[in-house]
Amino acid sequence: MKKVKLLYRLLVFINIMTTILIGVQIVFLVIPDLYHSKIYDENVLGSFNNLILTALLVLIVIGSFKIQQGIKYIIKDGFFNHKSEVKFKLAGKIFIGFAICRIVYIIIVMSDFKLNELINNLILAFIVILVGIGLLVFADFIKNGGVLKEENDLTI
Amino acid sequence: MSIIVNLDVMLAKRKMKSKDLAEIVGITTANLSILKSGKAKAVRFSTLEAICKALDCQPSDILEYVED
Repeated sequence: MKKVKLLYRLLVFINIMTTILIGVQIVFLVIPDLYHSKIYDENVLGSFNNLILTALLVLIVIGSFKIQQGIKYIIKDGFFNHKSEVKFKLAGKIFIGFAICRIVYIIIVMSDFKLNELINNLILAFIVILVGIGLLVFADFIKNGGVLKEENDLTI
Repeated sequence: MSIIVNLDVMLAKRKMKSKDLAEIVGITTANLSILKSGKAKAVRFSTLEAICKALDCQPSDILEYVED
């Protein structure tokens, strides 16, 4: 359980830092872009580029927050509990959703990227899909483990 | 569930309290209560053996199959 607690604290730190960074991004990039209607000739999405990137970031932070909640319930109620299962399943879906949105974004702004950046971004997006599927599998493990635990507890 | 646990009947026949049976068998009263209420998912052979020994009866006296 020590490692789980360490992971929880690390996630809390990462989530807080990312939330602060999102706030900074909104204040210094998104709002000025939209308010002043800045023109970016080099970007396909123009002044909406930062807004879309921030929205994607918000999506992954929500997913990360769900993982944090799932781990919190593991610490509180033990490994096999229904609440953790629900949170991890939701986090997995959010991660997959983020990755799909990211791939769509990459395809739309393909011309903005150099070839190596394009490949790197696509690989990262696919890895996030794998992480999302991994979370769904983990949620299934928790579910099956919960059934086994219940049967074990009710064996007299 | 189609398996009925008639432990209450046997306890009444032997005029034994649940608490005493739990003590003899070596299980908690909470677990014995789960068994009596039919909420148990499984019964170990060792537990069944201990119950039968304590109540001087057969497994069929405790467990009964009833079609749903």
